[in-house]
Amino acid sequence: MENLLEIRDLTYKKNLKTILDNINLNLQPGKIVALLGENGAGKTTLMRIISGMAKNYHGTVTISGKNNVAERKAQLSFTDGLTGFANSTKIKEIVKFYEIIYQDFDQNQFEQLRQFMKLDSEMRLSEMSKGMKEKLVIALAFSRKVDLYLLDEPFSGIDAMARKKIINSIILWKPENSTILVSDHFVNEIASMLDEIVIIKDKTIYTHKSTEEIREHHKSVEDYYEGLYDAEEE
Amino acid sequence: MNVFNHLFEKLLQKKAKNVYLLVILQFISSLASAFFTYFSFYSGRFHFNSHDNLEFLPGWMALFASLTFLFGPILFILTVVENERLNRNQTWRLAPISDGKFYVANILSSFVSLIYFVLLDVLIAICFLFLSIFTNSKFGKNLQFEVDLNSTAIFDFIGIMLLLILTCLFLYFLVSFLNFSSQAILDFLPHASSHILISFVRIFIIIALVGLLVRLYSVFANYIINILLLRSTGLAGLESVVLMMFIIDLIILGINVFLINHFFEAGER
Repeated sequence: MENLLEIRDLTYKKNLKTILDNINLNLQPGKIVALLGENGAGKTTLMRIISGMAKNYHGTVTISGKNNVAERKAQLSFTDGLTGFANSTKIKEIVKFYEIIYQDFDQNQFEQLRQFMKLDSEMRLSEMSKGMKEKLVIALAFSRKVDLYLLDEPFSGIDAMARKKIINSIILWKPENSTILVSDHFVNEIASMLDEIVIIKDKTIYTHKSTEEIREHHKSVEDYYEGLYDAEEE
Repeated sequence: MNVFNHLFEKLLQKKAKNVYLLVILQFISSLASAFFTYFSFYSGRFHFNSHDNLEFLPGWMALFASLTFLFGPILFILTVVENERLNRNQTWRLAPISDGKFYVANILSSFVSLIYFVLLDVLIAICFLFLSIFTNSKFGKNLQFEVDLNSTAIFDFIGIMLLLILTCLFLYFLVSFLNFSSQAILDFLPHASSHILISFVRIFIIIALVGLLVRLYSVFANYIINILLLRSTGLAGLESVVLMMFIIDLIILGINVFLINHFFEAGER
């Protein structure tokens, strides 16, 4: 099967510090992949490079064979902090922006997600808690019909109950052949939906395994992940 | 091109809010100034100060028109700040368009918002003018226009307008160039945790870049444009300045597009 995302010999340096070194990664269509690693491992940087937000890297990044940044941006949906909007902006105004800028934005899908997340269209950003903003960001991200969804720690502010509901529903929101790359600290909570995990350690891809393979040899994805760091400490 | 148009439209809508705010402020300020010019408060009430030459409405109009020279530059500074804030913003940079095209849409929308401000001011001034004529027949009779419409005057007017437009664009491009290049250079320097130190280094880089630009400009203007271009085309005076500004704008725009495409990153979240 042709790869959806291909990263070849990617090295990224900033302020004379190597953040990512010789990254090679292939993701196939239709997968849900966790991007794991300690704080500062480079997970967000990798997502920023894929989405064209970070510049001046060595190596190539292609999505469905396209290397051009504008074409890459058109094929991915990246959870954004919505910093481009004033705090007084209403949800319905943000939706209007998405509808105009992203031609793949599905208004009906957003309406369903908004109701699922219990968000009021009239609500302003200033009236929303961190968790509510994250719910909105997830709803906006999945209202686009794209090949690749990049979710950068999307659940950190969401309460445990809602988080569980969202995680269980994500598989229903994504188009069949789309791939999700999600970075999160709650490995045990997202483990059930994962097809693969990618671990960044020592500035590079330490491991890229299918969860099936991990479960055959270990107890759980969480145990496997924690085991990597326990072994290092010992 | 479609995404470019949509993006431009959204950027313009965002910047137009500042335009409306400033026009309203200008209107209120001119009204307040006119009020305090024509009325004075004593013996517990307001008294109208008669001015031989000008009635209240024409006076208000004159004050409104003169305040354009204050609020225009304020809007320009606001758009410069907004341009650079948006150039670094991830929400806007994620739009499915190349960063270079995004930059052009951003600058163009700021420029159009300036034009929009001028048009609104002219429109309001015209309304004032008609109101003054209708409410004061003496004002209408005394009003005289003397416009010398010879071809040289028209040509000079067009030249000055072009130069003004190109200078305005040049200032936008220059600020972006200093922002992009200083940030790109900072990204290549060792990480400093102190914001004060980073700001200090950035100011130093900007001063060095300005020095370099001045030096490059003197070489470019004196030798290349004057000798090679202007003498060969036979242009002189205003036309040569307009042509030189146009070329400089194109060069600096090209550099900025290159910097934003390859070096200037969007800020994190």
